[in-house]
This record gives sequence, C-alpha cells and structure tokens, in this order.
Amino acid sequence: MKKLIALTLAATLGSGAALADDWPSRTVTVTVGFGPGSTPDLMARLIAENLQERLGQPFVVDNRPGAGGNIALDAVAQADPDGYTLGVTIPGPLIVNPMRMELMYDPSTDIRPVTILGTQPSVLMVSTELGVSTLPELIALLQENPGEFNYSSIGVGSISHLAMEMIALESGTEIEHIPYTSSPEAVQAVVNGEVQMAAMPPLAVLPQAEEGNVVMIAQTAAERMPVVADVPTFAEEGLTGVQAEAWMALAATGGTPDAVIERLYAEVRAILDMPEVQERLAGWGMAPVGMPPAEFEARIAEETTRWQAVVDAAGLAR
Amino acid sequence: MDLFSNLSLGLATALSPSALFFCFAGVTLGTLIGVLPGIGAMAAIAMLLPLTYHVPPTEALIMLAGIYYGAQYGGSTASILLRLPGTAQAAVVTLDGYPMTQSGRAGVALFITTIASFVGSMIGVILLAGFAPVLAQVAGAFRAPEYFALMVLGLVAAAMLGQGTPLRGLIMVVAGLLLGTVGTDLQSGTFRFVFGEQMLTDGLGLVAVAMGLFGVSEVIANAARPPSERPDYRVNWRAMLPTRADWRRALPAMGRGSAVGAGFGTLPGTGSSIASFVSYAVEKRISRRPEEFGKGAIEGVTAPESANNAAAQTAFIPTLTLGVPGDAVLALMLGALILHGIIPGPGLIEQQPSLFWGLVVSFVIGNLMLVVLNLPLIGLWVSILRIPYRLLYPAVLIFICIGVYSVRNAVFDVWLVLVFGLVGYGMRLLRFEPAPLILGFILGPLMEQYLRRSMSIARGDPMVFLERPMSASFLAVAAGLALWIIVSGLRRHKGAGR
Amino acid sequence: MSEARLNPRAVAGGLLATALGVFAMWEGSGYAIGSIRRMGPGWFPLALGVLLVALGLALALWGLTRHAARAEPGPESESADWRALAAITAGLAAFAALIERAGLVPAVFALVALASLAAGPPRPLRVLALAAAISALSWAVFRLGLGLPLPAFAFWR
Repeated sequence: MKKLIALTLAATLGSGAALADDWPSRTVTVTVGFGPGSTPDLMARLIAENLQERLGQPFVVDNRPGAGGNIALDAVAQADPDGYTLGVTIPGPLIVNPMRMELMYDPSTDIRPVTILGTQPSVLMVSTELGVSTLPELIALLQENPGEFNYSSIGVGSISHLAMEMIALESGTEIEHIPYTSSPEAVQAVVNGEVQMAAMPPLAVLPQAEEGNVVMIAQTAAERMPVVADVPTFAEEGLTGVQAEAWMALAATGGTPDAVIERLYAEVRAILDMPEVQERLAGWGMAPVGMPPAEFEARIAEETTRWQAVVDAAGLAR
Repeated sequence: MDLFSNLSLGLATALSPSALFFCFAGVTLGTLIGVLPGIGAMAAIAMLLPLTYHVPPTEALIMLAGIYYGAQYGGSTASILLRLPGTAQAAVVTLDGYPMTQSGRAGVALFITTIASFVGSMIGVILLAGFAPVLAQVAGAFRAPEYFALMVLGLVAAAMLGQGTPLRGLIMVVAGLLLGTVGTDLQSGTFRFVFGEQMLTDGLGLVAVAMGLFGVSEVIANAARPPSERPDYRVNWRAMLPTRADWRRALPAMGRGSAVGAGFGTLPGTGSSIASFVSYAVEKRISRRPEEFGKGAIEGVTAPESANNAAAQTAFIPTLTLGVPGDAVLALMLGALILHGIIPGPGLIEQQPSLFWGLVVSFVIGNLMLVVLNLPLIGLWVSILRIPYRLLYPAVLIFICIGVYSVRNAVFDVWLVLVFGLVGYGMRLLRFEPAPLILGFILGPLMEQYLRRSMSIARGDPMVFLERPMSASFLAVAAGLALWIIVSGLRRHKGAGR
Repeated sequence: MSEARLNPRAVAGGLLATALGVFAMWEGSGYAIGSIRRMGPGWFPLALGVLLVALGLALALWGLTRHAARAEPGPESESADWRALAAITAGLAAFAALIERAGLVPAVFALVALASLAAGPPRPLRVLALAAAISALSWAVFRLGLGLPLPAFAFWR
C-alpha cells in the first residue's frame, strides 16, 4: 500500500529522482541487531549522531537484538526501499547466517550494501601454559596432538568460531570447539586454563595480554592493524589463507534508489574522515574503512566464497 | 596497596558535587525504574548510555551503577504489593511478601526490605573494598564442573520453595528447565521448540514468563473478588514499623542472606538469582517454623532481599577486576567504559584507581540516599492499595503489557504474557507454584551449557564432577538437601496420616 | 472432607506433567542426541522429558492415596472464574493487536473496557473515565518520562 502511494507520489512529482533528491526529509531509523552498549550499537550511535548533525533530520537508533543480528537486518529488508530504514550489521546476517539457516530475507536481493564503516582483526591468543609464542610453534604443537586442545568462541557461527576453524583447516589440524556466550567469558576461559586458545577482538585480548595472562600469536587482518601493531599477521607467519575481519557495515533496503545510496555514502565517507571519529574508533580497537558501495558488494561476494569453504569443512551448512 | 589512602582517594572522588549529583540522579531513577516491573535497569541504562558521552567516565559509571543497585531496592515493591515480579530475585520476594500484603502488613514488608537491602548492600560493599582481588581469583578459578554443581544445588533449593509436596516443586523445576531450552541451542545452533517462529529463536523472555505466571494469573483470580475480602490498608507509621518480634526474626536473616548473596554475587552469570533462592531455602531449612513460609514469614522476605542486594554489589568484583560482567546490565556498564576508551580487564583497579575507589565510596553514599529516599515512599506505595481493586487491576494489566513490550519492543511478548497468564492460572488451580519454575527457567540454559561444556572438555568422563573438590562438595550439599527434603516430606506424611 | 479418598488436583497435575514430558521426549528426539562426550541439542530436552514423565506419574499415583488427600486438605476450594478468565484474555489480546497498529491510547481503552468486564456488568461511564486516566498516566510515565517508542496514536497500516 505504502509502496503504491510512494509510486503515485513519485509519478506526480515527475520522477523517482525527485523523491530521492530531497532525502532525507523525515526521521531515518537505523536498526542494530545487538543491545545497547555492544560494539555494533556504539558504532550505529556514532554514525547516526553525525548523520543527524550533517543532514538536519533525526537519525534514530532502533535496537532489535536477536538471532545473531538477523532480526534487525530483516527489518531493513522488509522496509520500503526509500532510505528511511537503514541497518548497521556485522558479517553474520549478510554472509554466514544465510549458509547456516533459513532466513526471512535474501541478502543478495533484499539488502543493498552501502559501505563497511569500521573493521577489527581477531587476535589468536593462547594460554601461557602451552609454552609457545609463535604461530609455527603452535601449529607444530597442534599437529603433534590433533584433537587434544580446546578453543573457546563466542558462539556457533561467529567470526571467533569460524576463524579458528579456518586456522584448523589451513594448517591441517583438529582443535575442539567449546562455545561460550560472550567475549569476556571466552577470554576468561583461556586465562584460567579451561581451554587453550581463542581468536578474539583486540579489546578483549589486550588487557589480559598486558598482564601476561595470555600470549598473542597472530592477527587475522590482511595487514597489521594499529591497535595490535606488534602482532604479526597470519600471512607473515606463513598461513596465507587465514583472513577474518569482524567488520561493521551500513546497509539499506534492496532497491533503494542510487541517488539515496550515493548521498548516504558521501556523507558516511566524510564522517569516517573526521579526526574525532577516527580517534573514537581507535579507542574501540577499530579502524575506519568506508569503501564505495560497489567495492563493498565485491567484498561480500569474495568473503562469501571464503567462508562457504570453512562452513562446509566444519559441517555447519544447513 | 593501602586501603586507607585508597578510601580517601575514593572519598575525594565521590564527594565532588558532580559525583554526588550523578549518584543521586542514578539512585532516584533506579528506584523509580525498579518499581515499574519489567522496565528494569536495562532499559534505563540503555536510555542514558548516549548521554554519558558528555559526562566524564567516573561520573557516568557512578550514575549507571546507581540505577543498577537502586533498581534492586525498588524491585521488590511491585512484587510485595501486587505480586508483579520483573526479575527472578523479585519472584522469591513475592513468596512471603505478597502474603504479608494480603494480611495487611504491606507497610512492614516494604520497610523491612528497605533495611534488608541496605544491610545486604553494605556487606557487599565491604567485601568489594577489602577483598576484591582475592574474591576475583576464587571466582576466576570456577570452571564448568563447579558451575554445573552450583546450578544443581540451586535447583534443589528451588524445589523447596513450594508449600505442598516436594514432588510439585521438582516438577516445576523440570518444567522450567524445559522452557529454558526453547530457542537456539548454543552448542550447535539448532532451533529447539521454535516451530518456525522467528521471535522464539532467542528463547522466551523472562519478564513475559514471570509477569504472566505471577501477575496476570493473580489478576484473573482476584478481579471478581468482593472488596470486603481485602484488608484495610492504613498509612501511618505504626502500621509500617516492624514490631520487636519482627526485628528479632529479621535481623539474623539479613546477616545470613547477605553472606549467601555476597558469596554468589562474585560468580558471573547467575550469582544474584541463585543467591536469593538459596538464601530462602536456607531460612526455611533452619527455621523452627518452616510451616509459616509462604504465608508471610518475615525471614522469607528479608533474607532473599539482603542476598540479592549483597550480590548486586559483589557482582562488580568480576565485572571490574576480570572484565567479565555478571549480567546484561553490568555488560552495558562495561560498554559505557569502552565508550570512553577505558578497557575493562585485570589491570583496571591499578590503572584507574580514582574510578574504582570513587565508585566503591559512591556505593555507600548511594545506599544511604536510597534509604532516605525509600522510607518516605512506603506510605505512597501502600496507599496505592487503597484504590479499589476493580479500578486498580486494569492499570496493573496495562503496566504489565507496556513493561513486557518495552523489553525488546515486541508485540510477540505481549501475546506471550497472555499465554503464560493462562498457564499460570491453570497452575494455580492445580496448586503448582511458579517460583521454582522461574529458577529452573533461568538456570536451564546455563545448566545445560555447563554440563555439555564439562563433558566436551573432559572428553565424556562424568567423573570430573566428583574429582574436583569444589564441584564435589557442592554436589554433596545438594544431595544432603535433597535427602532432607525427602525425609521431612515422609515425616510430614506420617504426621498427616495419624 | 475427611472421607476424601484421593487428591484430584494432584492426579490431574501429575498427568499434565506426564503429557508435557512425553511431548518433550517426542520433540527432543527429533533433534540430534549425540554422545555423552558431544551431547547434541536433543540430549537435554530428552532427559528432561524422561524426568518429567517419572515425576508426573509419581505425583499422579501419590494423588490416588489417602495421604495425598490429607496432606493437601481441600483448599478454600478455588474454582475457575471463567468470566474473569475470558474478559482478561480478551483485554490482553486486544492490547497486543492494537498497540503497534493503532497506538497506546486505543490499546489502553480496549484493554480497560474488556478487562473491566471481569469484575461485573459493563459500566460505560466508569470505564471511559478509568481508561482516560490510565491512558494519560501511562503516556506520561512511559512515553514522556522514559521515552519508550509508544506513540499515543499510530497510523493504521
């Protein structure tokens, strides 16, 4: 019904572009699939606040936690394609979850990706009890004792789970997966020796590494990220296939007019270039990205292939 | 590490005018939020989180923490007056608090819970100030088998909550565990009992289940009751002050409750809800008048109330020293720290001494404010009961609906509250009590998770539970308690048979 | 009530618990059971189902004894109040149906009007006054005070 009205309106105004040109002319909702205080929520609020300032319309953050972020992205997918409902999402609901479960939406048609806002690597950390400090040492240990050691994750299908499966796959070993519910718990399990290793966001690892409770082995970014500049990448240490970034991206409804997407992208790009925004992201252990929408779409396609292999190998596909 | 100099640093921080202001704002908002069942500290803190951008981190945390423990004070109000628990802890307080209201002693119940809250909090704060690093180490040493054993203990305690045969309590506990399995299985990602409903993939909401089972069923049962059956609620100091006999029974219960609560609070995850159930079971077990429990025994109100407040304070120990938040609300507070670029973890106390000690001292100040704030409000709350019930209950239903809806802005949860209201009414007719079910429901997912985690790590060897001394001793206590329930049940049987 | 031979509430409750247990076993066995080392998602529900069946049967059997009739003496015999049940069910359902489509005020009016029928015959004037008062109060507390996303009136979608 609303779509019909919108179409009629668009027709009377002359063209769809006319509508898109004055975007935004009312409140824009930004959904987030995680609760207040979570990193995606902090990100959404930071971007929303700045968009509101620059565009002069209210940008309201709408927390819809649940189903690993699927519920919030579904709200974006079902909305009218007019740019008034946006979403801040992690890779799961866009890439991995569709491989694992039946969803209400098809990310390839119902969602229009805008850009990656920020990204963070996962840091592979191990218990001090293992007595290893480099990746080759660790892999040798794992290959001698396949299935002997445990790793913690923040849940099935999370980057922390898949990144470890990717490491096991690439190095040809087996490690037992023990899921936890949050990164503090998963890190604590490594610290108290319940499990021996985990791949976690830098912010969760750094305080424990500083106290000497865990050893940082490698980071999963393509190039060293400033927050953990002294930790080598997997490629540097000889495992080229391991790349896993926990980014946060902005997405709109599938079929949103180009004009709106372009306008939105330009504004977000400018926001990510602001020094105070970059400083804030750095404090959260993240680096700004902001690639153009077309590049982001290509990135999604590339990551889909990469993760599909891991999901299949770990027997997680639906 | 000199406690005295630390405390003076804390005093200097917490007594600054801005810290005092934010502390006051926090506890006031916490009280009001706590009184509205279902809204909870989570909603209030989430709402204020963006505002804390513009406030220095210490003040922001003082305010958010004030909301958190302030809500614990207010949380029992609706459970005592209207049988509307928004949390598991409040569900325990309904057991004897609501019967006190029904016999016209609502004022006394509210007065004594305020005192019990204060006592519990102070004991918790003392532990936080004096022993945080030691307690954190103990908590950090807990692994999956210990947690599992602890849950078993908690569930056995929950089965003692009811009045009829312990079989009913056990059935409720198991039914609660089963309800807890609804949603996505953590280990495999499989949907269980979801039946294609996306809103069920994260499980049933505690608020909807608790408000349905307790609140809605109570409204259905009482809506048509003639006004003559309700006691006369007087609002004056005499009707509000506990008697000397009340004090004699309540004070030791506060001490025991605080001890139980402070201990459990340091364990992230479940601490305060298990604490209130266990402390209730302890009181019932050692009381010379166990038959009075569930009918308005004052120990049954004060011990759990002290326990949950003590736990609310000691829950800051793992949160601030290990960086492992005790519950969702504390996780949100850690989010506020991250927002300010402070990374929680084991080095926090040393790196941010004025934040930690300022917070500790603000807890003392905040709790004093809460007592001053809450005592005068009792008259106001009791006078709500003077409103004729036929006018009151539609408002109660509206508050239930909005509270439940606000948890995650989902109409689905309002339907859920309706379903559980009907279930609760049916249970009531069959004489099943909802409190053990609520604890089973909360502990179910955790218990399963710890069981499966223990088994995966031990590679399938069930002996881990007995090989580890702490888990073995928890299981021994649970077995002893279970035995006592059975024996005393049989004895009562004989008594009834004669 | 001294001649009561059994406790019907215990029997009925026990049988219902057994039924719930059977359902849990049936549904639980549809998920992977796994092994003791790697318990599948079906293990726990299945185990709970078995436990519930055992406990339910025990309660039902116990309910058939004289002990049971005496241990839980005939209560202030609370019988079902069907009128209140229906009125409050209808009220809550109306609220759920209206809150997002029509907004807070219509939802409150519907709930108050229907739920009030639980207490006695309809009294339109009183209901109207009460609904207006509660609407105003809840709007002030939740919308104005707490800023919850609950508009007083929403457009019909």
